[in-house]
Amino acid sequence: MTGTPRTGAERSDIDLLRAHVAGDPWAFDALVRRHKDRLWAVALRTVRDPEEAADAVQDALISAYRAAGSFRAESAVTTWLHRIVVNACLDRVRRHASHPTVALPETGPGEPAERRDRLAEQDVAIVVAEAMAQLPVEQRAALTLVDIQGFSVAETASMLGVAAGTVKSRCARGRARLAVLLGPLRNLDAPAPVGTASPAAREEAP
Amino acid sequence: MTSAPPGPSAAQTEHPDLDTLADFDAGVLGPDEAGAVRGHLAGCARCRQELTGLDAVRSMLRDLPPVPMPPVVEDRIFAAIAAQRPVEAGGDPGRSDAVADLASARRSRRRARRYGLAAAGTAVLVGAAVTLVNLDRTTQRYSATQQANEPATGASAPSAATESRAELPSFTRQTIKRVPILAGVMNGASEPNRPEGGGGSILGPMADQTRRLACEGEISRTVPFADGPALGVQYIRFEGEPALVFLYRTSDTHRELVVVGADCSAGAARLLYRVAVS
Repeated sequence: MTGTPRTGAERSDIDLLRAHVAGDPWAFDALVRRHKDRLWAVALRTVRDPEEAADAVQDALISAYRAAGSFRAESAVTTWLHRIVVNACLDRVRRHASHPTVALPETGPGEPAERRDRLAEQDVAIVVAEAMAQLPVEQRAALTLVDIQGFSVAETASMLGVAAGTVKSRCARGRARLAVLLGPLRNLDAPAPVGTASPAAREEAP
Repeated sequence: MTSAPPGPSAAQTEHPDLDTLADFDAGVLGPDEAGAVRGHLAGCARCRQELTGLDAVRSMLRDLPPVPMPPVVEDRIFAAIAAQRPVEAGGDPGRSDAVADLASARRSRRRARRYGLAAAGTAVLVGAAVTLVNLDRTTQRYSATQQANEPATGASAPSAATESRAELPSFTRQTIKRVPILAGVMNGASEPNRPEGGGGSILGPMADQTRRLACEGEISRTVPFADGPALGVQYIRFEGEPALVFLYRTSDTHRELVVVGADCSAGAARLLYRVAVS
């Protein structure tokens, strides 16, 4: 409802979208250029297979291009774009549920045993991505949007078309699973706090 | 600094499982259940530790490095968008720049064959409008590119054929995005064969590599991409005056045509026009 002033060289998302609807041939490009990396990150982390992710993003952006006229300003343009992309991703994953997932492209042959003291950021990213691959896609999408991309629960709920409570609960379950899967990684990074024994150790204690 | 040992006080309630702790952490438990967990946590170091583990997961996710879209995906997506774009604003929505350019690329190939270039004319679409023609160094002739420069939509016809300096393909601000740029002549490759009867040159004054580098140096001072050398160059007539149009990759996503006066050299590059092409 608030009118966005057209001052400055940087046009706002909504200005670009309106310009696109009004026939500006480059406005949509500019909008996509602005958001492409975030949309890609969401797609790749949700779908996991780079080819599938590229297809999903492409299909989604073409839909957005065509449907821009029906955009209603009750949500942010970012939310709208993410909603279209993430739904395209979920559709694909559900449709190809039997397909094996492919690791993120930066994944290389990992030899964790060789670097016990300190894992490089890249290695952590690979291990986290692999752990996330074991989550149901709904949890993965929610965690990607909330914990990785930093969207609020409300924004994410709007993107996913579910209640805020559902987003919270998907994130909670996803985190719980990751805590188990990534527990050893954490212990490599930081020494275990003093005074807390693992459950197993406690059971063995006299 | 946890002091409460797991003992009778904590054992008063059962350890909540990890899912319940995560639900508590995410604020999805009802007030009663949340209260019970809170009470348990106060006396149970182990469960507090589990909660810390959930926090650690969150910060691990938050600290993941960004995953930028690879250029190959970007190119593909912008090409797909370009294929949606109408030729002119308000024009026939059934046609698009990409279609028009494919058509002109086909025409260019046909013409290339007529000029004896059967194998040479593979056209690669760069974004919406710029046709990057693969160069077969042994057979390519300049006349092919020169002739390919017929407007596909009939808007503002270049008049290269009728001008006295017919060897220079003519462009205006309106048509410059249709300039065919030859790839392959920039990276130390020699100028392709020219028709015996004279005719134009792809590089024009830029055939002199030293001068071309000097000119590009000047351009990079004026137009701050400096993201590597130009992808290609074409000697043209722009708005009536001899000029050079360079194609630059300005980002992973975008390319830009930069038109400078043909007198471009060390210390002097007259920027005539620049326009982004996706």
